Amino acid sequence: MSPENQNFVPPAIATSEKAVIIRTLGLEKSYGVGDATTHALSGVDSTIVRGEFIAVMGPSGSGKSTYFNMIGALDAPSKGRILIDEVDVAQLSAVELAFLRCRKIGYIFQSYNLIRYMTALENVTVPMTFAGVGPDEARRRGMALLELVGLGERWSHRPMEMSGGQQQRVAIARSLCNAPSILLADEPTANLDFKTGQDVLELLQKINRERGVTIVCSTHDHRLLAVCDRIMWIRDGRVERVEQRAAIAIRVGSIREKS
Amino acid sequence: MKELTAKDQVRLSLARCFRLALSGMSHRLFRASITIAILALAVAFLAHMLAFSVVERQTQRSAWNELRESRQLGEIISRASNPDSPRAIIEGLARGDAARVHEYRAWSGLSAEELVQAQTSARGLEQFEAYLANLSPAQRAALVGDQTSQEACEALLEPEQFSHFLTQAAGFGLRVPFGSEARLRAFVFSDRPALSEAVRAVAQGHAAAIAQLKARFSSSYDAYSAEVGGAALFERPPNGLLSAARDQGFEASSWPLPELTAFALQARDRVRLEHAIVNGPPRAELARELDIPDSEVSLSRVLGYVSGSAARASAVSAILARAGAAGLDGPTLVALARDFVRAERVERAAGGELPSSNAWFGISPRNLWLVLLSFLVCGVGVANAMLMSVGERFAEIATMKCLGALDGFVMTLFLFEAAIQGVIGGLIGLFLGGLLALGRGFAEYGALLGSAHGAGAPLLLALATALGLGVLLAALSAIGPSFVAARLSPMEAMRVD
Repeated sequence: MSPENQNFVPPAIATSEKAVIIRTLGLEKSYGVGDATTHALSGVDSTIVRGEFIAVMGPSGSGKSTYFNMIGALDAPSKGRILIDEVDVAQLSAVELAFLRCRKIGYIFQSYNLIRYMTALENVTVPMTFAGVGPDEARRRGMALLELVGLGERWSHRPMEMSGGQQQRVAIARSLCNAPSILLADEPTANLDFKTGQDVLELLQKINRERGVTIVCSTHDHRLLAVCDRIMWIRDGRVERVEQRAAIAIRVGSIREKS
Repeated sequence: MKELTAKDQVRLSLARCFRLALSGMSHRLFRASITIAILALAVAFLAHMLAFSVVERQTQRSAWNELRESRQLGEIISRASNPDSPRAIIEGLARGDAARVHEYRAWSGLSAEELVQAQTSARGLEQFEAYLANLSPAQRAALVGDQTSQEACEALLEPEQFSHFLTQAAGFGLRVPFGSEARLRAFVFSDRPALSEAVRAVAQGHAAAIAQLKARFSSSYDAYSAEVGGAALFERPPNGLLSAARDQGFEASSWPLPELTAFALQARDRVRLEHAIVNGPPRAELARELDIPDSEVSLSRVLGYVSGSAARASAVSAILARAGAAGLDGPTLVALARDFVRAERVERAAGGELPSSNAWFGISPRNLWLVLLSFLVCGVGVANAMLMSVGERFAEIATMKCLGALDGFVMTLFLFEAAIQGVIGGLIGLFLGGLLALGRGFAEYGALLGSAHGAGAPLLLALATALGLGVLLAALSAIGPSFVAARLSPMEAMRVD
């Protein structure tokens, strides 16, 4: 750590008793050079604590996706630092990054990103293969996870033979298979209809409550407000505000009353 | 608090990568089959080139050997009734073949030293002839006029001619034959006359030995001897032929009697047939039978007509028998025709110069270029197919990297995929190419192909090389696309299309 940061204590930590799992310090990301430079992120300080369910909200082009890529260790920032479990991601080698992505973080994508020629079970076991888990153990754990997301019967189906909601649930099972500490869900309900979206959100909430997995979920979906603990609003590459759900619920109520 | 310990990700075993590559490929059969087809074409082309040139070389070599053997048989038979020509004796001496030198010594009565001297002189003579042959026409005219090398040697015995020769050679700036005037003088004035003496002695001794054999086995030298060069002696080799020949100085212990007999009998039948056709009355009848003009009736036409057909053979044989040509029944004619056709094939196959054995599988440089070019084209095709395969799997690869795949794993996956396709395409190509080479070889050499002994191991090596190069080609062309895939950012997985 550089000397200027040594005494820096983010406000969230000062107020929270819980352990911090993801922390970003002055995160900046710009694309292009010279006049054409666009600043996707311009100084994001954020703190995510262990076991919470945080929603990241913001309009399109607000830098939400860029922020997601950063905390998922998928992209390197132009400036600033990302600490996952107090480990600076920038210090990790490619092999250590792969380890991190494989065991510590589970990714859930907007378009599910299942491997289309594999069955549900095979899709779920892929990360376990990368983690060096034996095939039998991987199958056993994969089946248990498919049971958890309610697809135990459909383990042999390929993505083409499943509905969007089912595919997303397979993706959730896949993200959980190496028991990650963090789940990063990028608009998980954007491609789903109302009912299945609701199911997926409830599933995420259940995982958060029962397994204590930290969930970071970017979304446009206001129903998420009902299940998350905190909401982080991002606008123009900055954190606009962070609010507790309790505070939000009232405001949403007030919006509804007004309209 | 630090739960996350930065550890290295597990590296998957090659077997695991292989199985994953296989399962991935089995779900994209169409793309894979295109790549496989391209590779199969390349390997088929190469395998065909290699296999054909191996088969061709072996066939030519065995044809060449066969021809040489039959020439040797003919030579033995001919030398048992006609003395060697002076030229043949000089060549024999210069070559220094032990059996030949032994015969010459027995016939000439020269001492061992004298014979060694004669051999040296014979080589000297060949050296002198080579010297003259290498001169330009103008130089040769100035040095020896229009004389043959033989005559030139004689002429040099005259002192003024000798000095003229030296002056002219010096005028052209040529080196003196044998390096120095003294050695040229020694060759012209003593070695060559002695060599002539020795050659004459050998020829006389050889003639005397033949006369002895004739006297002893007079009954076996029959009317055909003149044309077939003593073949009659070997048709039914009389008892004691070998020992008598040995007594007369022939190196008879190496004479293969059964082969000589077969050769002599075949030669006799052929001469008989030729006699009957050329001189006898059946010419017109044969022309009618063959349905060709009189003037075109020839040995090869008749034998070509008879070839492989017992009915035609017996028809021809009946015509010949009516004309009084004995001993040419149907089976004999068929056998004669078969040997004739084969001999023609052998001669044609051996006709070209013997391919050098150190060329790469006997492939000519032009064909090598063709092979290289075809490989280049196929390499581009495979690289393109692999690049498309990578392109349409961007999301899949990126997702895998999000799930913890290492760059090396992705690279290995694609290389394996290419190599598997290389093996499958290679095997198909091998089959096609081998078949093609076999068909082409059969069309060109017919039954002679079966006599290409020793082609097995080089053929296998050629096919294995084709397969290996095919797999290598696939893997090499896949390196670029695999690298693209391996370097893909996992961020791509977040992209929504």
